[in-house]
Amino acid sequence: MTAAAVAGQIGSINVRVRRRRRLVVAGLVAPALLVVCGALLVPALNLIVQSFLESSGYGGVVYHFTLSNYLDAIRDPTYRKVAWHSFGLGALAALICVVAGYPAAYFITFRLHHRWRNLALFLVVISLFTSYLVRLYAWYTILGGNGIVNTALIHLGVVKHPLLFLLFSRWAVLIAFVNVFLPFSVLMLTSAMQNIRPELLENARDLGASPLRTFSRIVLPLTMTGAVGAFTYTFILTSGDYITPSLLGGTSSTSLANIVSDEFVALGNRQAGAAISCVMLLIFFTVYLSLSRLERWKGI
Amino acid sequence: MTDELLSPAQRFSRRELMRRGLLGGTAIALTPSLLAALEGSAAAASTATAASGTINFFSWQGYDLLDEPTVKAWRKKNGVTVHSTYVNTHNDITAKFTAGGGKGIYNLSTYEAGYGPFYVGLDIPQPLDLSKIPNFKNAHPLFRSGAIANKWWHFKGKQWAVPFTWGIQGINYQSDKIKAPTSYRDLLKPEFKKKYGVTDDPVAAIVIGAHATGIFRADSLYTHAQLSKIIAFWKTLKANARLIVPSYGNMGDLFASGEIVAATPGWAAVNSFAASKGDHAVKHVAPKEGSATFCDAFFIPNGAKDTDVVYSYINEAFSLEAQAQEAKALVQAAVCPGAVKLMDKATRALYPYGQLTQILTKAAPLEVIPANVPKGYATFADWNKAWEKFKA
Repeated sequence: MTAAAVAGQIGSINVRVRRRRRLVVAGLVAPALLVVCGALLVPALNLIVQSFLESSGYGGVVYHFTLSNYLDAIRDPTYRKVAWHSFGLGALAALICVVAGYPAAYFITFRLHHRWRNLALFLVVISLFTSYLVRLYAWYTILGGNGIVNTALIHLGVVKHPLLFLLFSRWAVLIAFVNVFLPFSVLMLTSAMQNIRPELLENARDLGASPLRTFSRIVLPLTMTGAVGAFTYTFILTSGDYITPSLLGGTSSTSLANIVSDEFVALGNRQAGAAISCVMLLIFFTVYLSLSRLERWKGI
Repeated sequence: MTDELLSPAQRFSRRELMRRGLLGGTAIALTPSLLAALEGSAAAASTATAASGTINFFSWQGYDLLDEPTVKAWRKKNGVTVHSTYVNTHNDITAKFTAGGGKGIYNLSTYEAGYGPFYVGLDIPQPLDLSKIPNFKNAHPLFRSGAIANKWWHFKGKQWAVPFTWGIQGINYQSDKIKAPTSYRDLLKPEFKKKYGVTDDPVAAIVIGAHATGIFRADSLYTHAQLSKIIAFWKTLKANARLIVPSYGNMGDLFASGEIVAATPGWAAVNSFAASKGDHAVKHVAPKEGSATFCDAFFIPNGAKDTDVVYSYINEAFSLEAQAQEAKALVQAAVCPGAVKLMDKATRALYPYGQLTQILTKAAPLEVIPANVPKGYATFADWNKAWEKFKA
């Protein structure tokens, strides 16, 4: 056999191996792709299409192109007011989660012996083991009129009557949001911090950098991806939540997601609900793109 | 019941009803269980063929009669399994069977009388074969034929649903902490500030609001200006309220945890929900202005599977024992007069069964959904839209 023939055979084997590898990769990726297409892309496309159609009420649809759903969604002063509240509360919750998540993530990554790190991370996620609803109802027993906080305040003589604003208010919703989403922020920030070599921090200290300067020049820039991820994740999920505002929001409980739910459920107007959902998607996307630019930031 | 609804000409007074209600509420806690009281009672004939299978139920908590001894024993005997999904508002039922996820999945649901023509227009229920529900003959004639039946359950020559329970919606209150409110406006008093909830139930709220503002109409035809007046009334109540209660199930939790002492629109079944959480002092009252009256009916959705077992189940729910037990558990009225004598004294006293026709035709007519209205009047969609904005 000539060298050329051997090379040809080897080449053909390589081609077969590559083809087989591609098939294996395709086979492994296919289920995930199917799930993403079936459960995300198709419904999202349906939502977008529906938002440009006319409703004939209670599940009915007229296949006629219209922008009126969007115009109604944008012009309605009630929707605008609710949108400000929803996005404002979502942004505040996301900011608190990121700010509060940094010290915890820093402590776990750089202060704890690696032996205890997994235990600490387990403790962070342990609250996620209980259902979302159970955690929301738990706030009744903590912040309620007869709850732990009010009982303690009364016994300590700080107040004479229970502080009713603690529960069924925007504060209660904010507290619940932070409680639910802080662990996710800590996990994302911890993951980002694990890419920082401890020597960098030691060098900064050796060169006389203050802790604040070390944080702003090294930790923050190198963990910006995690911070942006944590903020965006919390912002999207809290701004779009409707269970927490319903259960804990009191008389100011309506969120934009509640409006969407009402359009779908109470009014049977899928098209209006879809338009509001698309506006929300657009806002989320804009926020994500804007924050993504921060990832390029290299420090103060 | 209201002064307006229960005028002297209507032969029973609100005070009498209230007195009976209060006595009844006390008696409920003191009397032996209904089951014991019913021991040895004559059973209604059940001639429908029992069938085993699965019932996928979509409606209000408690309407699946899961814990009522007669239906429970029947289920066990016939190997019938019930998978229940509970609704927060009646709109959940409409949405489930119009937007998808309901037809072909659930084979039993309920609608409130006023939704009947609306639902048939949306092609939600399928016509029923009454020969498979022989126990329905136990129901009061008013529910089987005549003007009311033909308006809500039997029209276009078909039987679309079978009414099995009715009741009134006023105010739920914590009887060991406050006196029964006699008016919705009692809730505006300083002592109620931030101590009550407004329930997210637009239909009951608008009917109650119409009573409270003195513009109630049995046909639910309100102009947009009148609808605004009703919503303005609720805004006044909301300003003094602690929260908007998202569902009646949640209302029971709120009473049990001591977060509220009253809530409106109320529902007598909440008394049971709260009792199951250890709070036995929640009661229901119909204030003097008037209350919403409802009557719920079983229906089989279009596309339902295993309908034989559903028919058997519905039939069993119309046995006199099941009716009496359901009336006690839900604190609602039975539709079968024969069940009244099987009730304990307290349950029997809750509703004036002797004046049924008088109540449902004149004093407190069933609430109507304005699905198709003449020009110039607010539609059901207008109601829901106004309520959506009220909550915001």
